[in-house]
Amino acid sequence: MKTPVVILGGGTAGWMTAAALIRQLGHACSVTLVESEEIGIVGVGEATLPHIRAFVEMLGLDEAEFIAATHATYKLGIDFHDFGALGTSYLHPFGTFGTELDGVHFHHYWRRLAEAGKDRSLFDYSVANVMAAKCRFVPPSTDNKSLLSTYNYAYQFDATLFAPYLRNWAVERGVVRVEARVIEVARDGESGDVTALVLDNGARIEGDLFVDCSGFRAMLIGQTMGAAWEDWSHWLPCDRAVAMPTVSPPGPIEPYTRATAMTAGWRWRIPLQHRVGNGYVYSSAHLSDDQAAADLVAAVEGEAMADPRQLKFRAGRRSASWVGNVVSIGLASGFLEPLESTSIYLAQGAITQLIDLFPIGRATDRDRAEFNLMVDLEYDRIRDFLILHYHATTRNDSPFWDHVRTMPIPDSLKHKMELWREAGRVSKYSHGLFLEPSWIAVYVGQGLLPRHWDSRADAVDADALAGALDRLHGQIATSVEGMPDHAATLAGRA
Amino acid sequence: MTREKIRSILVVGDGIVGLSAALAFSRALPWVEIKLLRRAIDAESIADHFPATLPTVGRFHAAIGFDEIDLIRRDVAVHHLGTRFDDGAGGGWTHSFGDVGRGEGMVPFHQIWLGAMKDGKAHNFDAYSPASVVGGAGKFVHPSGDPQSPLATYVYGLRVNPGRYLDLLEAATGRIERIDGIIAGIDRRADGGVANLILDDGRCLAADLFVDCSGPAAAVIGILGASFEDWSKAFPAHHVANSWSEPMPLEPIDRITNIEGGWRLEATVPGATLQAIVTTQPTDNSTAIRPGRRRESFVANVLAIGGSAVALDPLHGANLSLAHSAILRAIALVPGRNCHPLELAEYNRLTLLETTRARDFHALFQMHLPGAAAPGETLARTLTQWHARGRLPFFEEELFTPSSWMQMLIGSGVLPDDVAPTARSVDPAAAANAMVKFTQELATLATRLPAYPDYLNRMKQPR
Repeated sequence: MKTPVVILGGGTAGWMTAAALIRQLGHACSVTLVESEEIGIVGVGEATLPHIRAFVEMLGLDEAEFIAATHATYKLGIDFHDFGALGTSYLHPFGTFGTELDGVHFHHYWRRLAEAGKDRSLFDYSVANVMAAKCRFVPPSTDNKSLLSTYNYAYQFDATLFAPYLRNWAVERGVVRVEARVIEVARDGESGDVTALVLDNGARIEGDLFVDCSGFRAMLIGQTMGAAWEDWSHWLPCDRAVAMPTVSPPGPIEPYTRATAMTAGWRWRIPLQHRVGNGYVYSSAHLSDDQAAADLVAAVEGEAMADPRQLKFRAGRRSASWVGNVVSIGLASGFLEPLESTSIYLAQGAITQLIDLFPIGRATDRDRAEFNLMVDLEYDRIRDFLILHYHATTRNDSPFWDHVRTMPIPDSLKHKMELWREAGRVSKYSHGLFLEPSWIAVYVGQGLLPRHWDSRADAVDADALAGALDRLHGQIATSVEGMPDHAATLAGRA
Repeated sequence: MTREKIRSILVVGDGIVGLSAALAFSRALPWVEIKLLRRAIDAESIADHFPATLPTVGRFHAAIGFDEIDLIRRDVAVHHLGTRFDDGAGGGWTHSFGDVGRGEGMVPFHQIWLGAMKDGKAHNFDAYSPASVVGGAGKFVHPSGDPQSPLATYVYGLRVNPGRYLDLLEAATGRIERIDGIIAGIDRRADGGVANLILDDGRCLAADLFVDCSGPAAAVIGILGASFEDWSKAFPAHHVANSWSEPMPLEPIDRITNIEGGWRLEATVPGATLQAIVTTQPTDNSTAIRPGRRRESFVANVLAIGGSAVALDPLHGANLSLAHSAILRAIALVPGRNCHPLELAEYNRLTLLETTRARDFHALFQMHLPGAAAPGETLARTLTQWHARGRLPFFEEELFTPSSWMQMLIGSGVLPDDVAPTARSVDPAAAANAMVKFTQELATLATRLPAYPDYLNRMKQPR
């Protein structure tokens, strides 16, 4: 008999979960998704991370069709403005810096030359950055000896089209969609497990496993199972966003997302094929909603396509994302603001773990514990990485920036930053998000230079080193010069 | 701002570990003055006296400029594909290097095998291991570059003749100054580190960094008082008796046989065969090893590598590989002259992760012995997840691959209660056919290969 799985909520997380379950466990479970058009979706994450490609591939979707259906563009990274200091910028690339030499990472050589006054930017040695600056795009090479294999890409797409696209795909493959509101959650008197969702149309949807994708309402994991919320707003004070799409400007389409720091937060700009997504993420303790909307309207380029729309949220996560027979995925499980486009990744990661730990019979403590451990690890690391963007700054031009610059930070981040500052080392891990190049990008991009570098980097003759870096820089420039425009690649794939 | 670099290193101990460390440091940090304080290494230092390495040895040899073909031609080393565990009653299984079997789409092979096993339609797990089949037939070949070949994901380690390997390391470190003397004490620095080693004749040896490769004696780090975490309870069989004899024919697979209260390990290297008895009770000529580690093996300016840092039983080849890994990690994180505490903390954090899991792997094999302690937290997590559905949780800095873990679990008789739900998408009949085909492919491959001694002779021909 197939395990009946019930998913509550038809947003991005809900339909991603439904599609993945039917694809990988269609033989072992039946999937029913309850959603209500009345509720609407937050539609998080118009911008994604490269991991989304594995999801697209796992479902067996045709990339060109997927790009057309979601009006997607390619994304090579995020261009940060005014974070470390007003007037500065850097693009955090999906890719690496330079090449390793004799086992020593490139940034140590770069740091040595920078000390000697060779002032070319570290970012000039990243293929993705040079491509982004010239609005070029081709998919990376699969030959890992090639310079052109040193970058990766993600998509920027219309989140309001992504979920419906997955819905069609999943329903065609057997996911049952129920359009209704939940009026009651039935529970087993003894175990406390959820047994059924009672709907406003009178129907009762029973299941063995319930996936809560109800977003911030967290109807099952929070309201029903009472999983505590661990609040992180003291580290990540932004708790509101106001969003407004604008008409695409003429000219090239940027293959990257832009994040510009503002008085009380930051503003996103995400170029899609048919429009530009904009939004201001801010701290309500430092800025009124009206002022935020006014600041956004004043800052965007191009004609507005809709009125500003407000969103409320809170940074944090559930102390347990899986309780009893309720697994929460997406915003019901936790929220980290979209500064590094992590929402869809977090949902995807949780889905991967759920499939890996899918209950055999009743859900067990050992499976729940393992799931929660993996989910927490991801959240905690991303949290540290996001805090770094705010904390590593010299900005003192507003109360918001004064707050984040001086606030106490988690010890885990403090140690990472000190190790970097002292020795140019990135605390090592190989599993999860934001590996060494990402940390280096933000550290260097926000003006945090290590005091010292790997002493082996001094073993190379200075002139020879400068020559090698010049050649690398030239090779990157030449390679990128021969690439087509982002818009041309998009047109060719459509 | 250039900080002060490490300018001098004193390596204590001139066994395999000490010479390996001295050579690796001298190549990676050419500006550093390196000296070696000679010191005989105790017999219970497994890393200095045992021949086996894991496939990670290739990376270390590349770092010290050792060439595999050269080692083969000089009759120093032979290839190592795995170990046969003989139950002494006609049965057994092999732990070999590299992947086992062929997965089906997103479903890994071991899940398919588990399903087939439950239906009574599978051979032992090792029958699907290319390294085990090739090695079991007394053959060896280098991995194939053709991704379609079953030999594409196959890897190997080396076994060395310890005496000859030491000679080679001696020759390669010939330019490094040797000092003879007995350590009588240390001069402490204000930060707790070592300013000088004081020898019994009154000489003082100063260095920026002291690398303690003195084996379990822990001649330097022991004086600093870095506490030792004792693992004896997880390793009831820790009495080891070695004997070397005339060489048996060379084979790429070692043998471990069940005996009363432990095991007998036999490994043949060029020129000799080692027999090691590892038991719960002392035997003739046995010495007791002390399994355990120092939780901090890099303290102030003293770095412990080899038996002074961590010791495990000799059965699965982790000891020398852990030393190699520690040397490469120390080089990759090479601190400044002041050995900043944050840099040491990062080294110790990663080392702790690695030694924990190496311990788990070795302890898994001993956990059924009478008196064995209950598995620690990390091994318990592996066992729990494996039992439930044949899943292996991820750990950072694992020395042994997931494939090795699976083989060791299955070989030790730890079988999952169930297969993973995702694996039920595979059609059992088609999977059974594919498995039969795969074993036939392996058998044919093995038949075509030359016997190992012939392969070795061919490698030794001048090109």
